Amino acid sequence: MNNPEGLNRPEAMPAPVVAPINEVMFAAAAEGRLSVQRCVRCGAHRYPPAEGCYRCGGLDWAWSDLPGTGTVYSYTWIPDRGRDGRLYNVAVVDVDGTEGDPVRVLANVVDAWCQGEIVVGQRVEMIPVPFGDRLALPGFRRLQ
Amino acid sequence: MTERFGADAACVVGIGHSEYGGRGTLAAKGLSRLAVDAVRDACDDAGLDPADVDGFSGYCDDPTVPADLAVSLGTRELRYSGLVWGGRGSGLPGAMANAYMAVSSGMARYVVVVRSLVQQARLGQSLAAGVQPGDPLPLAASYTAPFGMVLPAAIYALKARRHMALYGTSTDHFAAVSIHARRNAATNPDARFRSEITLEEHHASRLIADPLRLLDCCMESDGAAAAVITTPERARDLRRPAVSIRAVSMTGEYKWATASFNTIDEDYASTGQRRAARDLWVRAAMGPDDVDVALIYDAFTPSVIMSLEDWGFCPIGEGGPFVAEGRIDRDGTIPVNPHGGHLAEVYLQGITHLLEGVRQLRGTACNQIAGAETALYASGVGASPGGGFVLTRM
Repeated sequence: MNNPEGLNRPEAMPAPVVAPINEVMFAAAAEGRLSVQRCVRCGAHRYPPAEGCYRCGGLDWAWSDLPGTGTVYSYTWIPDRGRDGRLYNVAVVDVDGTEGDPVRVLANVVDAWCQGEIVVGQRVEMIPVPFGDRLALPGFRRLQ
Repeated sequence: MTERFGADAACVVGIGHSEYGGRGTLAAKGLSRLAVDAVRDACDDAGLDPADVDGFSGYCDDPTVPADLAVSLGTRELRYSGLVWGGRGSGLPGAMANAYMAVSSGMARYVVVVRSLVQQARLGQSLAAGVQPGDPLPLAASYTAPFGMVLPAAIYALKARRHMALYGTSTDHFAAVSIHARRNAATNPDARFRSEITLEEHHASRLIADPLRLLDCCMESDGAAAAVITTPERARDLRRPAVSIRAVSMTGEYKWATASFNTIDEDYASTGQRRAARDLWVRAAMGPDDVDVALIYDAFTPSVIMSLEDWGFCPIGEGGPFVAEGRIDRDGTIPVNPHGGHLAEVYLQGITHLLEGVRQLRGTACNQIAGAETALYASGVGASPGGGFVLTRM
């Protein structure tokens, strides 16, 4: 993937495989919306995409927009071979507004550049990281 | 799980291994030759004609095909083969379970558990489990790899960071695991890393995936190791005193399949093996207090700290201080990996821990724990189901 300017992202990572089970999520992300699967039968949200509901076994699901905010649950910093060892982060974000087990989205906090700029408990909000034709990965930026 | 488990229905009668080397150094020999060397060594140890091996049990998507091994070993009757999907050392209990079930059910007589590894692929550069740069990305990796979540170390790093935030675990605690492994390996002639390290050297080693540094990671290795499994009845006709497999569990982590970042809260800062531990202790009719030596999967240092908690050797959250206080030393409460483990002996994805367990219970280990009668193997993160097993002296 090519990275938009000004975002802390690892170089040379593969684009996701776009498939019927995830395409709407990537399209929503491009419009700044965080959309995940929600079980039609019991209402539980889930991520990453799966065929069946972990809670009730239901196979029918629909996309559901979430507020896009969340809290950093854990994170790591990794030297990027593609950028002379410059650090990027990978964060696991517990996202707001879900029903059922907590839903965590793994992504980059793209406005954090140095160790110490993320802590567990950091509040963040989703922003798009564009790829392909009108699609985007979810990214996060820090909230005060 | 209240179903009665048929304990002690199989045993280990022989162990062996090929030469060990650094990543790619044994490529010219190849996976099959290394596996054959290990199996023949294990059969020699058992006093068994390799042609009498009639079953093979593998894990970690091992490409060493039993049909090919059988030809090279002169196997006349190939009665069983089984493979456990995915994982690294986490697949070993599944391979032990398959061998256990095969011999105790009468499907086969002598089943070899074998793992052969030539690391031409770089695990440290993979894009997902088993996926190298240039390979097509599997759909399931679409929620990790595009974000740079590609290193095995990063899986442990995320869990380790959460563990630090919840319990105050520190990088000094991780260092203590590594220092401990090197100290044990210093007196193991088979070990690849026999020089001791200091806390300062650990902290100065290069960053791999914060909070983990190079000296928190095992080193990619080449080699093969094998164990011969049969029934207690057949074991009586063989050369060595057998080591009983008291019980095996391969119970998986809830929701692991949706990737490690979405397991439930109580499992996140763990190896995901608490359910496996519960099942194993019930099946073995024992608990952590009964274990004399623990062989804990240690591809990365946090695995040891979290395993000590998951298998009940210390309360949840206290694994760091437990290690730092020397409780896992050879004269500690529960000696862990007296051979140096993957961090210092060799990284062959769990199976060398099995060999060490057998040596300890035979009383032939290089760093022998006096009077050891019971050993535990505990899986690390990943490969649902993972699990563990208990070995006992017969």
